[in-house]
Amino acid sequence: MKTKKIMIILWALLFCLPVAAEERAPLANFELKDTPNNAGEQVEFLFVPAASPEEVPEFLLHIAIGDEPVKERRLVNAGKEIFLPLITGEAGVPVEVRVEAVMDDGSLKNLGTSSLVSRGEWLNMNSMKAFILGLLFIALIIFYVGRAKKGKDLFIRKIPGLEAIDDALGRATEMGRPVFYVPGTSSMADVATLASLNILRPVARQVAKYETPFSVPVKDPIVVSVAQDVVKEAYMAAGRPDLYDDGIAYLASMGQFDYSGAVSGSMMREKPATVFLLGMFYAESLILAETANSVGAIQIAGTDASSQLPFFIAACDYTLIGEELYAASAYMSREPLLLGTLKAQDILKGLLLLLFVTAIIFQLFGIDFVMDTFLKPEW
Amino acid sequence: MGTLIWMTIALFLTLAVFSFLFRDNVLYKFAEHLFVGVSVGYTVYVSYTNLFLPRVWNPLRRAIGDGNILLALWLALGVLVGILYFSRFTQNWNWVSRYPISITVGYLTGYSIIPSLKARILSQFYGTVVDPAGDSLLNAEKIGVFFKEPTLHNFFFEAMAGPLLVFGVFVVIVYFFFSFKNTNPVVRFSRNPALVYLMVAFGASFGYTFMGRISLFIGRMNFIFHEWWPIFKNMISG
Repeated sequence: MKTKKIMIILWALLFCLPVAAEERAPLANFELKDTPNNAGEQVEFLFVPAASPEEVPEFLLHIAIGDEPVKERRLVNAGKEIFLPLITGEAGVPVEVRVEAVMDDGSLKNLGTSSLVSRGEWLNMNSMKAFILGLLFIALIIFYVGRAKKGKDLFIRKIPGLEAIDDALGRATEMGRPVFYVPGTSSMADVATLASLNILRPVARQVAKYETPFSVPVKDPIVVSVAQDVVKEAYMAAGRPDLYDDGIAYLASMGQFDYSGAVSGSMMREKPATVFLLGMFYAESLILAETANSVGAIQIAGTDASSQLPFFIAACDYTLIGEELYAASAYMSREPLLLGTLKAQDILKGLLLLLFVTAIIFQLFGIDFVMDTFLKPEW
Repeated sequence: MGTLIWMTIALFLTLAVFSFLFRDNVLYKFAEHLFVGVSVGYTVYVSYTNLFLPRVWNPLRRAIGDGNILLALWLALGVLVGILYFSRFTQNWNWVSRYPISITVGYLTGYSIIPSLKARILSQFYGTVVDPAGDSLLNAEKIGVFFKEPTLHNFFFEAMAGPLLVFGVFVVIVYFFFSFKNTNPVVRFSRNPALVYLMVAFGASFGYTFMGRISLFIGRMNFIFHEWWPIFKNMISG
């Protein structure tokens, strides 16, 4: 009798199993995950539909982020995995996503809820390679600056455009016409602007020595302040503080094309004999270079903006291409800090080139290890 | 009528700016000064409404209203550092302006180190050898395809593109070494090919941008002949 009862229960279970299994089969798999290597400003929602588009044409998401009102979002079931970044703004924000399946008859079926609290990490491991590279670079700079300060000779090859600076300034003095120095149209965040201001110092010193009229029209207010200080120091170093005026470096305008219009207008009226266009330039480069050319000025240009270099090469007498602009400041000033930095830059370039060639040799045989480990950037 | 007046002003300013091509003149000077004045005024207004109000004034008022003294002090500190810029207008205290400048320059320089290394060095090296789809441009197998099936497409795009790109990057980087004399054999060997690569790239960029400028010019001509002229013609024909 007991065995018969057990058999009946087993049979009943066997018949119920497919029904239960059918009910348990998920229509979609989804998960809220914390985005790694950030400050908690974003989380990820990964959604993988399991049901066919015929069975469930759409899914409906109810997304609640912090105190914000719940947002609805429809996902069309294309049978493909969907990755949805959700912006939380900061760490510690609760996020909840409730998913409903929109069945083929239009009815809604609740599939469940996924929730988490956004979390930030102290370290962004994606930037680790760049960080190590940065540390190596800083170590090299410290080493070579130390060598330069001890008086060790750090060789820098001749840069043709720079040889012409003295002649260009002499020409302006002889003609009694001013020298214009345009330090680019970018901010202090740009390396090219910093390099340009480094070149401004020896140029201003020379101009002060020759008593030549000097003009430095600037686009960025912070760059104006720095440029004024640089010019002032240069005039003092040349022993001519009496010639210095705060109006030498001035804010021409803060917009791109009104700035170029203002500088072009000044060039047409003041007719400079020499124009320096050194720094970061955008679409205004040709306008400035062509105007300077039309007033018969000698132009020495330089930028690291590869899209503007062609215009300078076409319209100017001398052009410092890319890194020559950075090297120029070290070459002219011979300051240990700049010389050491340039030397360190060369060494780092050499090391990277060596790594690059090694990675290529491995790549030729289909081995990606070196490239992926050392040179692949992670964002 | 209002539309025509504004469009005629735009036409006048367009022609005034183009008159510079002939020579500097009063019309150009007028347009230039107007442009500079309007732009500076606009920038001041945008700085006030988009920066000062939402980032300083409103949060400061909210923080004081909520009794969040720490946040209010933090914001006030930022304002104080910003106000130090104005010391440039004084004779004896203008050195104080160096503090906000050094904070800005230091912050921006430090902040840009890691993104610059990533975007300008690592990404560039990686992108030279690996195409956007993640395939190697220099895979020996891929290069061998050309020899098995030598078609024009395979030759240019599959076999030669990768090696040419890598060689170009190599010689151009060597060109920008400043520690070696120009007589150094590696520098001497790479100099001419590097210049060829640079000039080809600059030439292509020049042509591309030139076409962009022509398109801007066409845009202005379209404005004159297809927007202003029909309205003006309708107006005078009654």
